[in-house]
Amino acid sequence: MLDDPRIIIKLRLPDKKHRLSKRDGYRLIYLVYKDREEVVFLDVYPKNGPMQQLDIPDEQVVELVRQYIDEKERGELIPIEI
Amino acid sequence: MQKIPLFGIKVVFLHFEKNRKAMCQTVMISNTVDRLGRRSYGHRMEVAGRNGYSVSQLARLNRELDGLYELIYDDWNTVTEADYESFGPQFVILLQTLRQLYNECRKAGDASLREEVKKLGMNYSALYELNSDIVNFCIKMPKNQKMKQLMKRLAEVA
Repeated sequence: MLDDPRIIIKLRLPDKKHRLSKRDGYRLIYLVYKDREEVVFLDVYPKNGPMQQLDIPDEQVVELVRQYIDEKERGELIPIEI
Repeated sequence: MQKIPLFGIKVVFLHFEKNRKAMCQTVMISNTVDRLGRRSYGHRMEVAGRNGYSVSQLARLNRELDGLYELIYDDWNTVTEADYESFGPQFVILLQTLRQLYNECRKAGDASLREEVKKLGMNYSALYELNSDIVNFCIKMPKNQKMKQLMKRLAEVA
């Protein structure tokens, strides 16, 4: 999706509380608008522990984007200034 | 005599260099995956045969798996379908072998291996995720028709 004005990013984050590196910490999935200053938080999950998720299939990412569009259309989202 | 614009040569050279670097990287990944696949299989046989498998052997394998992770992670989001075809099937076999080795080591129940077996599990999990990310984000996602439709819909609601 590199040629699209929007891009979906998967970011690896460390879990400092449990002394886990970026490789073993949390995963943050977000959507970035390349043509304006806006990012959309889509999902976060841990790579380890009881709630662990090893990967994220493309269909799950599609579902996250669909949910975001539906909620945006219904006006349920709150913009937050960072 | 026709003058050749130097800038043109530079661009062609840089393009060649970029492709050469990408090709070298893919060949390097492919060779490393192949080597580690064979080594992991050998380790699995040793553990299963109770042939005095030592913690230093597993520690060395873990270090090499760390190296493979770094090698692929540096460029994972630029991997093309053609690149993946050259190392993907071997990578999947390596993952299966690592999983089997992990299970064999756990079954062996050797206390001296415990820490390294834990690291092996983490390495397996990290490489498994990397493989999934390449398949899902680099290969499947750009071709996903539902995602293309959603992106169009997104442009309309934005």
